[in-house]
Amino acid sequence: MKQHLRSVLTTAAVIGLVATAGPALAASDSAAPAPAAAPTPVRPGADLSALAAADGADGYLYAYDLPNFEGAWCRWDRDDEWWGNDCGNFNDRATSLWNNGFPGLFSEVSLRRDVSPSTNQSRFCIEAGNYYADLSLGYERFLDGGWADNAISGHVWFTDDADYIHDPHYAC
Amino acid sequence: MRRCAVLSLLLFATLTGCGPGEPVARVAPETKLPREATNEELAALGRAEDILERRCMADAGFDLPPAPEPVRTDSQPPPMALVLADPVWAREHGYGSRVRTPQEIARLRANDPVGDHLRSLTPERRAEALRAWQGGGVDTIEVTLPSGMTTGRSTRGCTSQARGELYGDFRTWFGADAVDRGVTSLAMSQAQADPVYAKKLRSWSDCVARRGLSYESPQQLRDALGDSAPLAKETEYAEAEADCAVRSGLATVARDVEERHLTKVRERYLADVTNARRMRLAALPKARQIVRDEDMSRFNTQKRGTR
Repeated sequence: MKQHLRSVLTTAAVIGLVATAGPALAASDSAAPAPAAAPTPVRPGADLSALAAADGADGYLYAYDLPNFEGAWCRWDRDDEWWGNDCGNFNDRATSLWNNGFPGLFSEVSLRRDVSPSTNQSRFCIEAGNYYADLSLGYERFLDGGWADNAISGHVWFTDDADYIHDPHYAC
Repeated sequence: MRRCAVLSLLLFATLTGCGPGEPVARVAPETKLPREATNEELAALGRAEDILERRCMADAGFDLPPAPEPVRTDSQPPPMALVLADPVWAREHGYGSRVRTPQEIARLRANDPVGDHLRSLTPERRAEALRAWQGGGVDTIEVTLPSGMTTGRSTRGCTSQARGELYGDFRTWFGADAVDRGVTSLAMSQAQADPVYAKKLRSWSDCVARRGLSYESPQQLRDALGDSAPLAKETEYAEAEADCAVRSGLATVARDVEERHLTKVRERYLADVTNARRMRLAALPKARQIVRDEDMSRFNTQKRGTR
């Protein structure tokens, strides 16, 4: 039922992308003084347009070895619960991610730590259209609190049809 | 059919004139938080986002077929962030829509008119559709989450445009929503590591082990079950989790610990949490109107079709 078509990658097409992530400019939204009570600043982000598949048909989950979408990379448009045999072994390597999937059914991605559910599997999710620029900055990322950097082993696309925001454990 | 679309568009245009008020950018710490949106309200907001996205896609030249109605669970799930603690609900619904049977998943995958339509396009056209929808990774904005991670998305494309339309200002909305969700995630991670919770976890674990399920935590038990399982197995796991939560006292402890960490983290991100909640509540009347109009025009279309 589940198709495990692995996207073959032409490693020659590795992109030397310069992440134009702006410096942490505090682009505060007209926020006045109020020290502890100002909203978290939203700043200009990375330009990912050069990453999107050159073959025209995108809809992939992208994973990069280094922060800010640099270094070796891999991409998938189907489920793949084991990254170990993709792109020269992408197990426990991803540090930045972009879900450039189509919105709608099965557009969110659940990222898994470990392959066997009986051992130490945990997960966290990425919405269609979103990116994580640097997992190494995040402490406590998987839903069980574990580090997500260099720890993702596979992924599954799912439909978040009941977006229970108060309960990140529910759908993801 | 065309006339209906135009009519609803007109109606919609008049509606957008009276959008939600500007979000308040800062909050005094002593201010009481606005209430959280209910699951039902969140579903209405999500549905309105979808409708706006679809209209935006139509404007961009992509007439998408109607998506299947979202699968509704017959009963709102109880909170189950740390542990599912409602044995009656568990007996009846298992984990709810969180876990589905393999047959159900196959059926859901098969009923994907939008996906079928996209797959029928040429690769070039498909890529155009994705860019129109998700923004193609240009003009992105990002925010640092409470966990320390950076998350971002394009401000372009129909998904972001729809959210901007619904919530008032996409930039403010994106930051507030992402941080608000991040607050919950971080608080739950901390709660799981809380010594008070961890201590009670042992008696919960002993309890489920006596039922033949040797797992250290509800999270581990659920991961072992997965997203796809036969109904009987799902019910067995959910019942074990919930029964043992009550028996071991983990249920009570979990609620306290959750609340304590949520309060603490929310305090630190008060402005974001307040903005996110306020923007959701403010968008609600508009969302309900959008949904009503859409249902009306769908109904009219169907009626005309059957004649």
